[in-house]
Amino acid sequence: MAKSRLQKKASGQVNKSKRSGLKSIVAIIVLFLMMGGMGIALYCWRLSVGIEERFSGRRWRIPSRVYSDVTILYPGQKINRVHLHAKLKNLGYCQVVQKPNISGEIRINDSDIEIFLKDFKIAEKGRPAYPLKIQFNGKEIESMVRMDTGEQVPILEIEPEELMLFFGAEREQRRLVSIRQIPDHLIHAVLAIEDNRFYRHPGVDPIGLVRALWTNIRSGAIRQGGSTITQQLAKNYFLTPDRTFSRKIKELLIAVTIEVFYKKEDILEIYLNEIYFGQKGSVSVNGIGEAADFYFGKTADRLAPEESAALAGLIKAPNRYSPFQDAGLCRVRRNMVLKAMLKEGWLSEQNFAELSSLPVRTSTYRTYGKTAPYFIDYVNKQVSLLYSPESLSSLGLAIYTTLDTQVQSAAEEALKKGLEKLERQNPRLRRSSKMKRLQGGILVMHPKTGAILAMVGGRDYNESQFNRIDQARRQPGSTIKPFVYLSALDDLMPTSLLSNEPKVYEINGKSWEPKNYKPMAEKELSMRKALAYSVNVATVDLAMKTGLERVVRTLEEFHFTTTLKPYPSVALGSFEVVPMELARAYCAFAADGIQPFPLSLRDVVDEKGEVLKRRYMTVSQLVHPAKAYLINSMLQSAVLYGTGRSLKGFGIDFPVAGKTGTTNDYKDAWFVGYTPEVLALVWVGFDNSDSIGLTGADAALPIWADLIKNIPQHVSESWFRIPEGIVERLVCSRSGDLGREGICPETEKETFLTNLAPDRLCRLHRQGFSKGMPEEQKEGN
Amino acid sequence: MKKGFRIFFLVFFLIAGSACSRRVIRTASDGGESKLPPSELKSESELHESAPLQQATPMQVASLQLTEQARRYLEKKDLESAIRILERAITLHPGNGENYYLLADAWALKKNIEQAMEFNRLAEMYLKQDRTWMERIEAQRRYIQQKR
Repeated sequence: MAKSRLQKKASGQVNKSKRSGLKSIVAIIVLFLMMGGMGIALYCWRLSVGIEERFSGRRWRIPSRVYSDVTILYPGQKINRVHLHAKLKNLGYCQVVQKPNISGEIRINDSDIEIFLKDFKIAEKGRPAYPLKIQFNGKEIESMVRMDTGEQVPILEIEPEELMLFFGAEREQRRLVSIRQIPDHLIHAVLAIEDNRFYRHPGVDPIGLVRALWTNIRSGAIRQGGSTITQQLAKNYFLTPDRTFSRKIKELLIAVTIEVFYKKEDILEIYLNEIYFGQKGSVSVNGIGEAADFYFGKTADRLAPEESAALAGLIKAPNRYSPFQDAGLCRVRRNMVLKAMLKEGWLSEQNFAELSSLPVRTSTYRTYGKTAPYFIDYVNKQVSLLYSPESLSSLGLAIYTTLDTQVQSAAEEALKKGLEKLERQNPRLRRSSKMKRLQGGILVMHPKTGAILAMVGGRDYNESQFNRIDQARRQPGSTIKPFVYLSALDDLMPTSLLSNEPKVYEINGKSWEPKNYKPMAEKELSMRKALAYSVNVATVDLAMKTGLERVVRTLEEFHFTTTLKPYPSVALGSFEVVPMELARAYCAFAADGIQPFPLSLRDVVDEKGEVLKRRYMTVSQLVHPAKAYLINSMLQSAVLYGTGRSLKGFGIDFPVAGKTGTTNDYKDAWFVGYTPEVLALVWVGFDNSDSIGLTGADAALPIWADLIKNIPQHVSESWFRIPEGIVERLVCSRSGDLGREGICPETEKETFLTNLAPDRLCRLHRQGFSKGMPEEQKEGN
Repeated sequence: MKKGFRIFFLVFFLIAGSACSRRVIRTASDGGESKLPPSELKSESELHESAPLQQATPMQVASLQLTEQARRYLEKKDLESAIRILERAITLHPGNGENYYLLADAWALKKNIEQAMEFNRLAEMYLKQDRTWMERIEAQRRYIQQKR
C-alpha cells in the first residue's frame, strides 16, 4: 500500500515533471513564436515606413518632355503634303485602308486625308478627338469637314510633336494615369490574366500558389507564376530581381504590408503605372499610360477593349508579345486574355467572339530620337536656367516650344541637299575628313513675334554639336549693308547719288581701299542701285557721308553684341556677328520697324496641367515703319534685279526682300530673305574659314529658295503694307529729280519718306535744253 | 467702384470694336480715309487710297478666326489664353492692328503697363488711318496710363 503510494507519488512526480517540461517547451515555443511574430511585425512595421516613404513621395522619376508648337491648318492654306504626312506619322497616327473609326487612325487618299483626330490638351486648353476630312485642291487645303457632324472646320490645331525627353540614368519613359482614367475593361483584362483573385486575397494568394504549383507539376514546366499583383509590385518597386529564398520571403512580407496599409485601388494604380511594357529603342516603356501611347497612339482612357487585352497580354513578356515584333503572336496572347476575361464573366460570349476576331492594329512604330537637336540645345540653355537636371529628369514637365517641325524638316533637307549639290558641282569644296566638311546653318523666324520656327546649326549633329547659328561668330559681309543704308535715311533718298570712284581711306595710319566684287563702269549710282547691286565702293562713300559714328550707333541699336569701331570697313561687314543676332536684326525690317526678342520657349507645364512658366512675344519699336518700308523696298530691288535676281529662276515668283552677303576671300556666303510672315537666314562656309570661292548668291541663295518653296504655309505671297510717312514719286532715272514726262528719256516710280522726297523737276532734261545739260534753276513741285 | 467703371469702359470698347470689325470685309490695316491734299504725283494719301482693296487672303481669314477666339477669351477674362491666341493670330496676319489692340487690353488687365503701352503703340501704327479705331486706341491709352 505504502509502496503503491510511493510508486504513485513517484509516477505523479514524473508526470508532473513531464508536464512541466512540456509546458516549458510550449512556453518556449510560444515565446519564440511571439518573439518571431513580434520580430516579423517589427520588420513589417519597418518595411511599412519604407513603403510609406516611397508611396507618399514622388513614386517615379518622370522625364520632362520637350514639344514643338501646335500646327494650324485652315481652308485655302498652301501646304507641303509630304511634310504634313510625315508630321502626322510622327504623331503616331496609324494609316488604315478603311474609313478611320477610332481616334488615331488616318486614311491618306490622292486628294484628301480622312483622319480621326486625337484629343490633346495644353494647360487645360485643347481640342477633343473627332473624325475629319481634309480635302485638297492641288497643293491647297480646299476644305475641312467633320465626318461625324458634317460641320465645316474653319481652323484646326494639330497637337504638338514630342521632340525630346530629359532622361535620368534609368532611361525610362512613363506617363502617369490615375485609376479613375483607366477603363474597366483594361482593369479586367489585367486582373483576368495576372491575378483574378486580386480583390479576394490579402496580398499573398495561397490558393493561387497551389493552383500554379499544380499546373506546373502537371505540365512539367513553369507555366504559371503564383505571384499576385501586390507581390509583383513589391518585387518591381522595392526589390532586386535576384531569385533567392530570402528575397521571396521579403517579397511576401512587403506584399502583406502593402495590403495592410493601402487600398486595393491604390495598389492597382501604382502597379499599372509601374510595370514594364517593352522597349522603344534604348528607352524602356513603363506604365499603362506610356504603353497606350506607344502601341496604340492614344491615352489610356481611350483604349478599346481589344487593345486593353493586348496590353494586358504584354505584361508577361513585353518584347516577345510586342505587336511590333510579332503581330500574330500578340494576337494569340491577346485572345488568351480575352478568354480569361470571358471565364471571369467580364466579357460576354458575343463580345469575346467579336473582339477575338479583330486584328491587332497598332500606331506607327516610333523610336526615341532627338528631333531638331541644335534647337533643343538652344532651348536647353534656357530651361537649365529655370530647372536643375535632376528636376528635369524626374518632374515630368511638359516644355512647349515655338518649333514648327514641318519648317524644321524643310530647313534640314534644304541644307543637306544644298551643301551636297555645292560639293558635287565644286569638287574643291570636298574634304576627306567629316569634321572639316563644308558647313552651313539656317535660322527661320517669324519676324513680328520673334518665334523661332526652325534652327539648323550644322550639317550633322552627330558629327559636330557646334551650333553655327547660335555659337559661331562670322563676318556678315554685305548682309550688314541695309543697316548702313538705314543710318543714312535721315539725309539721303533712294535716288541720292553715291560715288563709285575708287578711293583710299586712312585707318590708323594704314591705307585701305574698298573694292567692288566686279569692275563697274558707273562713276556714281543711286542709293537704291548701290544696295541692290551690293556695291562696296559706293556703300563706303555713303557711310563716310553719313558719319561712321552714326553707322556704328545704328548697328548697336540692333543689339549686335560685337564691339564695333568706327572704321570705314564696318560698312562692308568686316566685324564678326552671331548669325542669330543678324537674323534678329533683319526682323526689324520685316516687322515694320519692330524688333522682337527671339522666342523659343512658350510654356512649361507640370504633370497636373498647371502652367509654371510662360514666355511671351516681347517687342520694341526700333525703326520708324516708313524707314523699314524703304529698306524693304530697296531689298526687293536686290531680289528683282540686283545680286539676288537668280531667286526668280528658283521659282520664287512672289514679292521677297533679300540680301546676299559674301566676305573677303569668299570665306562666308550668306542670304537673308523675308516676306511679312517669315524670315530665313542661310549661311554657308567652312569652320576653319577656308575660302569657298562662291558668293552668297551662288551658295546660300539656292538653299534659301529650296527652303521657302517647301514651306508655302508660311508665305502669303503679299507684300508689306505701305505705312504712314511714305510717298511715291515719278523720277528721272538719270538725275533722281522729279521726272518730266515725255521729256526725261527714262522715268520710274520711286518711294520716298514723306519728309525727304525730291521737290524739284529734273535738272538734266528740260524742253529746249540739250540732253545732259544741267538745269541750275530749282523748280518747285 | 472706380475699378468697376474701368472694366465697364474697357468691355464697352471691346464690344464696340468687335461690332465694327465684323462689318468690314477688308482687314483693319488695309488703309482708310485721309485729308491730305491731292497732287499730280502720288502723295502719301493717294498711295493709301490707291492701294487695292485687297480681298482677305485665306491666311488673313484664319487669323481673323483666331482674333475672334481671343476676343471671347478676353471677355471671359481668360487673359493667358487670349494672349496666346493673339500671338498666333499675328503670325498669320502681322498687319492686323486689331490683334495689337486686343493684346494691349490683355496686358493692361494683367497690369503689365509697359507691354500694354507697347502694343497700344503698335495698334496705333497699323490703324492710324482709321478714325474710329484711333478714338478707341486713344481711349485705351488713357485707360492704360491711368493704371500706372
